[in-house]
Amino acid sequence: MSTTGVTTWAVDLKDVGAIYPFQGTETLLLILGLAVWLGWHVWSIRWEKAYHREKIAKYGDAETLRKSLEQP
Amino acid sequence: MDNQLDAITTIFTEFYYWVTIPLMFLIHVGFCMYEVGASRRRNHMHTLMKNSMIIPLVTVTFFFFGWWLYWALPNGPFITGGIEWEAAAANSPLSSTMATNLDDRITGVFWAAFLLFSWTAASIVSGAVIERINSGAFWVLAVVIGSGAWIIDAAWGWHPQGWMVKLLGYHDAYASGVIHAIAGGFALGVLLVLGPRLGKFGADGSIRNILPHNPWMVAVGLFIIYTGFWGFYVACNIPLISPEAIGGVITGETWTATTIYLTPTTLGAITFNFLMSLSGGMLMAFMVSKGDAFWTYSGGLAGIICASAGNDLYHPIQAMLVGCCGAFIAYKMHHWVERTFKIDDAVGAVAVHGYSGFAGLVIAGFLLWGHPAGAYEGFAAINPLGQLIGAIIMFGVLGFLPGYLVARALHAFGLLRIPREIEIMGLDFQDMKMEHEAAQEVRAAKQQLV
Repeated sequence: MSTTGVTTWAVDLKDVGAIYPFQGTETLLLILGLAVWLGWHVWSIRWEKAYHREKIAKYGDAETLRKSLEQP
Repeated sequence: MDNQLDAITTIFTEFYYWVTIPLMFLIHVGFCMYEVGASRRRNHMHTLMKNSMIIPLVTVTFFFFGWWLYWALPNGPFITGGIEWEAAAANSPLSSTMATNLDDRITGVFWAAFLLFSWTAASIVSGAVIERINSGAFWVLAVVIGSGAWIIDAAWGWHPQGWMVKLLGYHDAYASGVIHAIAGGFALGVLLVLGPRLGKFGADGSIRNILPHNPWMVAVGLFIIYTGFWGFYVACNIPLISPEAIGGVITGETWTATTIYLTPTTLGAITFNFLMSLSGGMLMAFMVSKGDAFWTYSGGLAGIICASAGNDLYHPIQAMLVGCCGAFIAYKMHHWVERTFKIDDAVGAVAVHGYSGFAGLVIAGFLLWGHPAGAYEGFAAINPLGQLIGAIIMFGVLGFLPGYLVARALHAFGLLRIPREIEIMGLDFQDMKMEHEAAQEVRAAKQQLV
């Protein structure tokens, strides 16, 4: 048994094609990959919103805003 | 080179390795920028010189004995045989093939590709110990790992006839273990003896964040390491070889690119997988560190490093997911070890290289289970236990142990750590003072002119 389908290299390489592991699971892998990608966007938008909200609550008073304009 | 095909193959292979060398040089440039950017203003020049002097020291020692070790010790400590005297003799500094020789066009470029791996191994350790190690002590440690420990591990687990490959089915195509886990383990051993930078931990055990003086320089340094990493990957392959030249069990006449184990792969495979594992690492690191730039870039590296053991074979999405795991493990382990054991790893080298490299080996054992580890008769197949034992050998036996023992010896002679006063003043104190005085003198002279 081999996850790649190759159990020995005693073969003629002209007869060998794909050798990645778990062939046949490409659809599942794609679904997983898409889930990671889309999940990342959802997370990043939420996180950034919360990040800005927290910063405004902490530093967003009029005095700090006025002072920040004086900085380069 | 007695026919045209032979000549083209030889010159192509010679040029192929030659190109990887300036690319890998960039890894060292990146490490230097990264370390200097991470150090404080008063330690810049010493930090730079500490890392830069790896280049001449590891180069000459790798020529004198490092390369010989690789060819002499694939059987390990008499596990699958004795010392390979004949193969090693052709790669000793006394051999005529280790010089200008029209009969051998490959040894020089192959030696240099391995040498650049050696610099990387030592440079990984360099970052972890900045701002408090004696440069002289570090340079001894650099030779121990760069021309000793890592090349022994390469003979054991990164050689087509290495005993770990034969008996354990050890597979580590792009060096998760043989470069990264060993360097991470070595750095951890040194850090344990060296101790943290002054002020890193409070008396109550609280952790203080010593921020890089120039985050932009750190980021560019890591970008440059990414660029150099391409050369590293390419140098791990044999670009073009016939079944006859491999001399193993492969039949027919179809030529192929192979890994260092002479098992077939393609440059296309490693191009897919390098980029997908880098991406998985960056995505995960950005998320887990909440957008921290240093950890996002480092996470990209951790992603590649974790997938490297099996990047000759993985599907790109598998490489991406393994990359995500590597970045997650590196980030979480770094902070857990720092909190729990009060280890001050200034650049996260142990985590990015050591823990993710270790994890990558174990993951490859499961994902590539049953795939032949070698192209020869009687080799074990890749399996989780063999990979776990291999990871322990790389990180622990050939990494942590020599690092710890040599650091202990240097410490016993009072050579390891700089004096407390120097650490407080800064290693560049005198240079900075002179620079300040010279500037004042010039300013005073100009004032007299107006």
